[in-house]
Amino acid sequence: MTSPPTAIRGDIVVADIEIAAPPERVFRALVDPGELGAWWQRASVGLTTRWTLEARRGGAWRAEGRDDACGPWMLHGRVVTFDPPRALAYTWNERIDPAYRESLPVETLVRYDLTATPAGTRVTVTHSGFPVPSAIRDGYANGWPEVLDLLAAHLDDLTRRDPTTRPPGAPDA
Amino acid sequence: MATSQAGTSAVFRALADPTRRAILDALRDGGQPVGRIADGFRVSRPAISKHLRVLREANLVLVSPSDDGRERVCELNAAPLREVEDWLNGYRRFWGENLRALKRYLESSSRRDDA
Repeated sequence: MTSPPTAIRGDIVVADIEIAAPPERVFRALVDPGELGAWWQRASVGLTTRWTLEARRGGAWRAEGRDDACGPWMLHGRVVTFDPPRALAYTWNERIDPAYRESLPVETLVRYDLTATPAGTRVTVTHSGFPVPSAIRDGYANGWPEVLDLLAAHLDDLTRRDPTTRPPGAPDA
Repeated sequence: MATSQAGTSAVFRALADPTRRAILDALRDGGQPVGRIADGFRVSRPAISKHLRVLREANLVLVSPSDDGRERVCELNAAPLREVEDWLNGYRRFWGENLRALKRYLESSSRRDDA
């Protein structure tokens, strides 16, 4: 299966995929707690999740889970856009065991846009609000060569000190 | 996702504040004396000093004396920003995998019959 294209534009993470199911069906899978528990993060090893979600604008949502990669984690927020079957957006807050990974220190926003296609539905996820300074957001686009040199040196140094560190583009562990 | 390194937490906490991000933005084109940074903000000097301390602890800003020794000059240190990029890449991977999981779920033969 080909990977869906994902991209980082400055302080936004965008991912999209095409699914052979109508938008109404896809939307239901995004907001029904029973269904969410069945597919959310299913790529993880040894995963369990529990979901609650109030399917309305202003509704609260919460997910709790545990997996081998992140240990116990909790996500929660409020629904800010509820426009079935076209759009869903909610705020995103997380609590993750710091022994595994840093949690986001700020609230961010996740938005799903669903578009009908001949094959079914295109789902685009936009995760925004990351606290990114303009040096990251604009640095590569403006060709900031000193940053690139510094980053390359930093990465080389990291790789020497920790051989398990992988350079970008290498397969994920 | 990768285990966090000791400095990552300090970097993210430093970036979580919009004034601190704005200070980094002000430094992206070159070093500035502390006084000139403070002049660019409607925040008190002690508050700017506090923000600079947090940024220094995160290794995002380096402070050194000016050539004539009269001022302290702040420069952006780009190396910790590599961790930010890795962190964003982690979310990119997460959403890629999560959407694939949604697709597998909805396209499985038992799901195809659902209305």
